[in-house]
Amino acid sequence: MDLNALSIRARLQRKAFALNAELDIPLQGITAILGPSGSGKSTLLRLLAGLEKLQHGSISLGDKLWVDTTARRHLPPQQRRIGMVFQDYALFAHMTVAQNIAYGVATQQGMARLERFLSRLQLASLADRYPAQLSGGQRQRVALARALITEPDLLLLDEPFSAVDANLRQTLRQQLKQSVNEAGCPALLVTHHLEDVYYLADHIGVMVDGQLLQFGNKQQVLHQPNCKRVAELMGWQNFLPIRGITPGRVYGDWGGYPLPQEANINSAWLTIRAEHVQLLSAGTSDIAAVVSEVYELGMSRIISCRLQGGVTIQKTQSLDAAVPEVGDTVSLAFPLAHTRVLPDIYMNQQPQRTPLHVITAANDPKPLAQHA
Amino acid sequence: MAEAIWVTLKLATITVVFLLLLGTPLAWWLSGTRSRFKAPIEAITALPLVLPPTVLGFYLLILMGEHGPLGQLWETLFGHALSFSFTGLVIASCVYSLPFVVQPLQAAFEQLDRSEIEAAWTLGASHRNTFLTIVVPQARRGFLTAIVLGFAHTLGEFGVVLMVGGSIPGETKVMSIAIYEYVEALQFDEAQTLSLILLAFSFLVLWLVYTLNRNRQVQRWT
Repeated sequence: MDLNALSIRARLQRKAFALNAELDIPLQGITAILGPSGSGKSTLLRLLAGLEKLQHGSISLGDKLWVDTTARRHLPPQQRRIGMVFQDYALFAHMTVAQNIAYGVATQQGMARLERFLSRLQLASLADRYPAQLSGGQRQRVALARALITEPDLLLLDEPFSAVDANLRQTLRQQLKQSVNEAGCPALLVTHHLEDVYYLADHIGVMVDGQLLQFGNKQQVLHQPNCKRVAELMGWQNFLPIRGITPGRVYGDWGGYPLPQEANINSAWLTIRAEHVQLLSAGTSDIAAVVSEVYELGMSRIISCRLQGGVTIQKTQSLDAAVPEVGDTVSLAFPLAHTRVLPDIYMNQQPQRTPLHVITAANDPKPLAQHA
Repeated sequence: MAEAIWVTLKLATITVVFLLLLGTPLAWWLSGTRSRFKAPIEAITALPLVLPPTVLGFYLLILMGEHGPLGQLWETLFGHALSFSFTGLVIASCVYSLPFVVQPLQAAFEQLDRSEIEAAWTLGASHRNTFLTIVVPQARRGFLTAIVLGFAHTLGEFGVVLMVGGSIPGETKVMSIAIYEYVEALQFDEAQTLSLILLAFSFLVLWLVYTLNRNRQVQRWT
């Protein structure tokens, strides 16, 4: 039992869904669980809150054992000392803002905190309003104040920005981060927005189809995804299929490339983020491409290049950089430090992919591109 | 006449109190369960809506009569018969008016936002406190409807009362029975008075409830 962690060993089987997660979440800062809709991240949160019962496994927060299925222990939500912000905020519709926030505190000391939270989250002027009279952002602040006022051991946040307009999200993220820091309470956030993870998370877990694919600190998961599925969710845009591998080199229909690191036999994809792709004059690298599309997106420009074999690579650059024309032939280079070779998916601590054609001296094919 | 009014009001009030105590947990369970027993129990609860009161009264009489299982048990425990007594009448009324209390409550509970209940739990509220502070205030329209329908339906009870309670003055003779007997005896003035009282009372109660339901504060919540 890790005394400084939320330890989760969870297995849950339902008709068309299985959840499998083993992780130790440090009890500091904000941890984000990222995953597409239906990946099981909200179920994980509900298991932690005690709103769902675990079938197999255990959950403990520091030295407090919440769930142990072998000992038939299931601590009810009332005894877990958690704060939870629900996806739709779940504000009590028949209570005012002040009554909502004060619901979980009965003591005088707790009531004294009400004034502090009302002013800290800029809710003092709304104290007598009902939830139906509030905007989405105001409701979120009320839900946050209601969860934090009880001084919980753990704050759980279920997609807290999904019910607000996109232009409000960044302001609310800042408020959330500030409130959580001031409260000094570890928080677990589930979201399917990468921006939430970039801005808020200290640690990241990635869940897909009920499986926890990777868990680690932010830099590690963002920059060293352990498989293609995690890389996609972390915003990596370019995936070149690997058809063959020799010591020191990988091949595909698109060309060949030096192995950027010791590649696993299960590696199936050569991967690079769009901002790290280098666009060069034709004939200056192994990888030839034709510019297929150029467009501007906010403060940057996106250049799509089609490689041999039909793979498309995206390159982002600043608006003041030189622009190639659609139809131009160019060369691409991938700096070794920013390139990864990854399996399809990393499940049950094993990389998964279809068997790879391993190239040996006896069956070495013709070079696919003009690699040296 | 005053006796009949008193018996009727006493019966309706006691029936509604018992039905709230019994019907609330039943409606709560029905609103949240996925059990395979839900459909048959809903069907049993709704039976008094479609059964002729005389049929329901007949079976209740058999059950509560001196040879019926409930009647025998009652006599053993308390030393007097259940049929043709006020207590028997209360039990029969509870069965007869059950759907009028359970169904509005079930509908109100089904409309509640489940996450608000869960939010109360995560804030440390016990199940009992959550029910009293979150469920009851939010389902108050359902409770009001249940009380009014249960009360009004018991006021107008005739067939079941006649079968199970008979017409014992001061004990089981309710207003509807008294009206029937006045008409049979061609005492139209007395029948008219009692009918008018029932009509006015029913109208006033319904008016009060609809006014309460339109209360501005209630509207603000939605």
